[in-house]
Amino acid sequence: MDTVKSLYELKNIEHYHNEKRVLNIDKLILEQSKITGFFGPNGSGKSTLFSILSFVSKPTFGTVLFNGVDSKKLEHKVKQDIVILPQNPYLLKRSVFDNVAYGLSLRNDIKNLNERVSQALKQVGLEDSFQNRKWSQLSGGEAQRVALAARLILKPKVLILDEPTSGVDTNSAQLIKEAIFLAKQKWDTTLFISSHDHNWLNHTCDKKVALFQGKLVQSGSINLIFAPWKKASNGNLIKEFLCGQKLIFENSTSKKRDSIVMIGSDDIYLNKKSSNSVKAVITSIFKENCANQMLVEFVIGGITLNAKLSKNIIEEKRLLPGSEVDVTIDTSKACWI
Amino acid sequence: MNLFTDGFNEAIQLLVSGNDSVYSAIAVTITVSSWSLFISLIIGLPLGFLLGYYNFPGKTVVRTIVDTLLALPTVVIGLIAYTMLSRSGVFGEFGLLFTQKSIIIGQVVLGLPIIIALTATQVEAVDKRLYLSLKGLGANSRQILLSTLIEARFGLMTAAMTAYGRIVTEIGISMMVGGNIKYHTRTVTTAIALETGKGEFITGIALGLVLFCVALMVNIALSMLKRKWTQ
Repeated sequence: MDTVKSLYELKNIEHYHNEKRVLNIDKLILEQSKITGFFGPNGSGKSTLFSILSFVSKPTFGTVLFNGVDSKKLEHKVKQDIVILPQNPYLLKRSVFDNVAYGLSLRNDIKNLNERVSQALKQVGLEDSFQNRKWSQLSGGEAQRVALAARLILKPKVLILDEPTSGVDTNSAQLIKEAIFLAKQKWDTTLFISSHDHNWLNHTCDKKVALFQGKLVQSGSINLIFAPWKKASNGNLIKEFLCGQKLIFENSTSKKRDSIVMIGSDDIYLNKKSSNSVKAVITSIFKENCANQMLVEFVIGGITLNAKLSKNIIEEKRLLPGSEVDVTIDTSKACWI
Repeated sequence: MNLFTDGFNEAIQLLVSGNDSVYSAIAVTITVSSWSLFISLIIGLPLGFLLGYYNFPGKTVVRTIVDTLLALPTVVIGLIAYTMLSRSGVFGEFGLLFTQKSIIIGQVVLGLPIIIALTATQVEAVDKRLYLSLKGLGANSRQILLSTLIEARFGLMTAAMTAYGRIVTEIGISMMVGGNIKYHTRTVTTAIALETGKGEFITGIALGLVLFCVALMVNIALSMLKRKWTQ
């Protein structure tokens, strides 16, 4: 039987920036050899959490255990096995070769440097001819791939990727995704990835962690619906989607109009018509851990949500990506933040 | 205009004829200014990094003091160095007064605030993502210092050129603690002062042009290095 080993254990973590609390996590366990996805709106604390997980910064309060050892007692060499690719990574004002080889030179590991740099570049889909290019001669996508190659060459035990595909073209994004999976396959690297691409996270991650205003809201399949809200004549809040459809949230008269609603996938019903249902288009269907349960992702007026549905129903109703379905959201289960 | 063209012609003649005293003054100028700049960089770069990189109590006060020292007149530095290096001074026992070493000490005091202040400014201006990238790749504090200074190298070169410009053209320090001793501590600037004092304006202008050429060559060399790095 496979036993899952906890790699990180975070306890009572609080982190402050200029006296403002930006992270507040009571407990979080992250497993080894898994891909964990982090999502949440901008400013939810993802980058701060990644900075703590990579030991780039220390939390203001709380304990981080890595392989059971307190981070304060970790040796520098152990920390060097944890590598982070920040959002908008910085390339040194040097050649591509120097950038990719930089991490190895920090570790005095300079055997077969040319070959290893060449291999790392190949892994991210860049040709050997890129080696001599200067940092200023790269496009945004190429620079991102060079930065990733500089991390992959280190064969890290933990690779933390903060929105690795944001701001790059589709081709670069695809190459980056492939390179990440190759790292997982080849070196059994534990991966932490943050992204706004829920579809990608759903498909790739073993586990998802949602963050909101510095707190863990729930791990798993949750949906967030953001402001703006409109007021109905009876005072309830209404979400008006871009396509013009409206969804009334019951018992929301006392809620603020800049609130955010959190709804679990279990509280959204597909293929169910009601007085408060809306039309949605299925974008993807994939298998969850549970054998017969599928996670269906769908779009309502540009907003992506997901719900769980049994495989039998999907087959029976012949639901496919592109199919239009009626969606009923149990608004009484909405959690207002 | 005649004075200037005559000075230019004499400068050529002085250099072509291999005039001993002129070449000695040039050699002393290059020697002491190079050592002064080198020592200023060795001490100033780490201090400038610390000042620009870290936040600590009293940082603003330290920064104000360093910035104020930028405007310190060379003659005042010369005077302070003289009182400290003279026989009755704190370092009198080392017998450094009227030696090239004493000029170097004074010029380091002159160049150090420039290197520290401009390095701090350059380090402050370095992209904030650099730290996260370096630390995230496993760099330790020493490696972060070195890599940050290398990243700021273009700005630091400007700092070095500024400091060199001030060092090579100063006269107060060289005159007061060097003593303007021929073939020993006479620099181009003290030679110009001497020749002008004697009424030898043309020789003074000639030496001035020589000094200009030395500064020009140093700047050309640094510019070529900068271009090589950026290409």
